[in-house]
Amino acid sequence: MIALIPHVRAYSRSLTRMPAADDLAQDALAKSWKSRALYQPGTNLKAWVFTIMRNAFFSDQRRSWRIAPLDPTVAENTMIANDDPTWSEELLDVRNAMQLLPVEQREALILVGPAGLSYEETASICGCAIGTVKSRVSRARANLLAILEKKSAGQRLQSDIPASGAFNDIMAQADSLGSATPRDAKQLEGGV
Amino acid sequence: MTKATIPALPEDRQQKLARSRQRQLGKALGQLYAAVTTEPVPDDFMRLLEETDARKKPLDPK
Repeated sequence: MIALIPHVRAYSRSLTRMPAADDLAQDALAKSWKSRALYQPGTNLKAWVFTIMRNAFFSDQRRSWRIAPLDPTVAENTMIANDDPTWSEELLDVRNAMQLLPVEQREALILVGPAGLSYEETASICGCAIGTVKSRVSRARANLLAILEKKSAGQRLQSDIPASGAFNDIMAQADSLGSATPRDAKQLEGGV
Repeated sequence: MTKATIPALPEDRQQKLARSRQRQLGKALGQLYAAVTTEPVPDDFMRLLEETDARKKPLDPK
């Protein structure tokens, strides 16, 4: 259980922000420890603890009617400050872009990615079909790339407006991103 | 007014570019996850588990 603490903390941060993420992780660890007699040896302990934490998170979310969901436009304007000076700008962009994804997409991407869980284990944790997990991961990747592309194109337009062929190139990219916007926006709004 | 068109990249080039972006994204997500898992665990966590265990022991026949 102790060895799992770093992973529980990492997953909790895909569900919510600090300091609430650490509170959630602590609650989940305490609940798991108290219920350890229910754990079936031979099954994935990490997935079991993650399931307990996820259930607690969404249960709290349903109860917390006063907490409005994070508006993506608000999130974009209140991005987290860089607390690690060694992080590259690209890494910060990815972290901030992650905050704009629906929580179901964000957690699916983390669970089957760096957390190292299978699609089957992730589906079990999230209480959905394997196909749904695959769909969420795919949409999460596409949405993240679209967000990062838009930011990148926006920066180029702001900082580099040459009267050259490069400008046409940038405009073409902005144009293609613009044409993709309604679908992307629908995906972001609709979740899965 | 006619709209200027930029020739699209060849399909194999597009696929290569897409794969490269996916790799970069995967690497960045791994770095973000590792940034948390390599953080020192706050003392609160260990204290909590110890307290939970201590509370549970009197009820445990073993």
